[in-house]
Amino acid sequence: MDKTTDMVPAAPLLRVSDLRIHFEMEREVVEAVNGMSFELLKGETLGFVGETGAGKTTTALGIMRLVQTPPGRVVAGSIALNGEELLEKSEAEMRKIRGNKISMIFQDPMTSLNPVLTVGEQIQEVIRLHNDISDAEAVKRTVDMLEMVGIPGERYNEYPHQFSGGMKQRVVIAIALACSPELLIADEPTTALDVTIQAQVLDMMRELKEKIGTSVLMITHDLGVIAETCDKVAIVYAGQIVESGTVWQIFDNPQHPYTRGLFDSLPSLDKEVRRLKPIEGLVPNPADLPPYCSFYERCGRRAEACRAGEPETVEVEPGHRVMCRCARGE
Amino acid sequence: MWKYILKRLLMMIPVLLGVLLLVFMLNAFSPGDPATQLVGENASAEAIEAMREQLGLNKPVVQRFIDYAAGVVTRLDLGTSYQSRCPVRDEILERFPTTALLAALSMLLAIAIGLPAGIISATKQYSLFDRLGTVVSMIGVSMPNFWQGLMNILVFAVMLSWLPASGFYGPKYWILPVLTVGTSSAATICRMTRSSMLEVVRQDYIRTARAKGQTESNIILRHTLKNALIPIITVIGMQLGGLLCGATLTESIFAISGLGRYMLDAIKARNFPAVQGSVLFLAVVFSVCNLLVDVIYAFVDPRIRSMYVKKGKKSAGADAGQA
Repeated sequence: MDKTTDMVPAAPLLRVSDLRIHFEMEREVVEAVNGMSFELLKGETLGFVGETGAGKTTTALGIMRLVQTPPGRVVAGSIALNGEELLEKSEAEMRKIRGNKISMIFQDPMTSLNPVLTVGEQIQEVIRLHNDISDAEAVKRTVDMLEMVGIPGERYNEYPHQFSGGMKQRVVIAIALACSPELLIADEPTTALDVTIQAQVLDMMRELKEKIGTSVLMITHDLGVIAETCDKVAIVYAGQIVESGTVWQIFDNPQHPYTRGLFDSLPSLDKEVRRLKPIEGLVPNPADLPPYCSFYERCGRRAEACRAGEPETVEVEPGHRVMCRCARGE
Repeated sequence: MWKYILKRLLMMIPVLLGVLLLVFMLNAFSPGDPATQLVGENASAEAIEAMREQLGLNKPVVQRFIDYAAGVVTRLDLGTSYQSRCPVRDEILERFPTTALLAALSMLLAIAIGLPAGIISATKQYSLFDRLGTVVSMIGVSMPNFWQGLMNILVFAVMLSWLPASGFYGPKYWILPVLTVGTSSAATICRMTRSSMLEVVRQDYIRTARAKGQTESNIILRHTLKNALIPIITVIGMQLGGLLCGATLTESIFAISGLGRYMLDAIKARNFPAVQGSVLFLAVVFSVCNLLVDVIYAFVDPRIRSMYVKKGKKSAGADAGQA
């Protein structure tokens, strides 16, 4: 008894449970997020991996309460930040959280900055929204932020079109970190950048994260980025987390057939492989998901029992959860 | 920037010469003889010939064009009206203020109605206001001005006797013509504002602004509208250019002595110098309007501004290199 109380882990910064987000169109309902549950501790980085359309970005927007309504709607579930339920907050309360406690980096830096405002104005905007400070102080903090992400302060009055892609992403990161958020959601922050810049941006994010002590939700479809930056990983498929665990658990001991498929489709330096092995088939239509395991159609280990209903989530080792019948050793 | 404006002004010269040539040719080769029209169909051949002599119509076309062009370029002389025998330039300048006043008031009304209506329609897409606004502005766009003018006269001047039906002598007289011209421009501006705003609202940077915790009103005014302005300014510029050229039909209906009506009368009377002069004048007005719009673009959009600035820098660098 005593032992367990000593070992009680810190309350998670973010706890998402059974989150369901649907897009209700005239003719069909697109089930984008279907019972997503995960936790994120303070200072931790959680990687979200999955194919395009798996529901990663929708989950992120759901946490920010920025899902376009209508047609999107959070149907069920709970999102708690420091124990406070975000889904019950008013729009005005959410505005105080966005950009301040939770901020987000979007995928394409080319389009996520306003072309008619200077980068200084755009960084300063978020600082002034959440801090009651004088003009001079706001400008000073903006210049500090610019320099923190490696952009000379003199470029304050320049417009986004005068910056390269990598520089723009630095500005986006400066905006996201300007108010030292507790949670940073990075939605494929490096996908639109070329490889050399990718490494720079990732390094910078890691440094800043350590400096500010932010928790990060890193959305990507690049397993290399996960290996480099994350503590924990969640593999997302058709709006569900099919496998989750620490980076080591997932990379050394992938259990779910989908996770294994992902690793098989990567080129490896150790083995000489003529052809990469893609995962056969296509992601199921989110408007028409089966009532059983959504990976069934593409699974190499499927069995008749898989069609019996939603697979249960099994903890195969401490912290390593798999949503598959096979993981139970059946 | 100043260099650019100067360049644009210089570029207007060939355009205006082209307009001059075109209008002159159109008149010179159009059927019908102004001399006959002036002295009357039944006049003797000698009388007509004398009139032709007097108007200078018996000289070769090329000679006439060179004389005319030389007069325009050296003395800003647009010729003498066949009918009133007054200088065309003075007649135009006398009427232009009326047309300009009508245009300015109509444009103010159009912007005051069209811009806010478009913004509300875009932010509350598919709301009752938006649907109603769409219907009303479709009617406004498709309703011909002359018909709307006649209806306005019928209702407000004839049936209700609230306002005068013709003339342009004071604020009371301005209301109906301005209403007629302004509402149809307002409809066009409203449509353009709505579609341009809707285009911008979908952009990623609007989502970024929301993710910062910005309020909706600031997102609309600070982030969306400023980006949506370019096509709106284009439409306003074109409308204003059109209105300054005289709302021909509206001026005729309300018996306003403006440029549009002057031109219409001149065409009917084959008063060639008046037609040529007005068209040339309107070409200048339109070109200046276009230039103004281009300069405003640069103020609104830093990407366009930096294009001009870069050009300036480059040429400055080249000059330094040569020195």
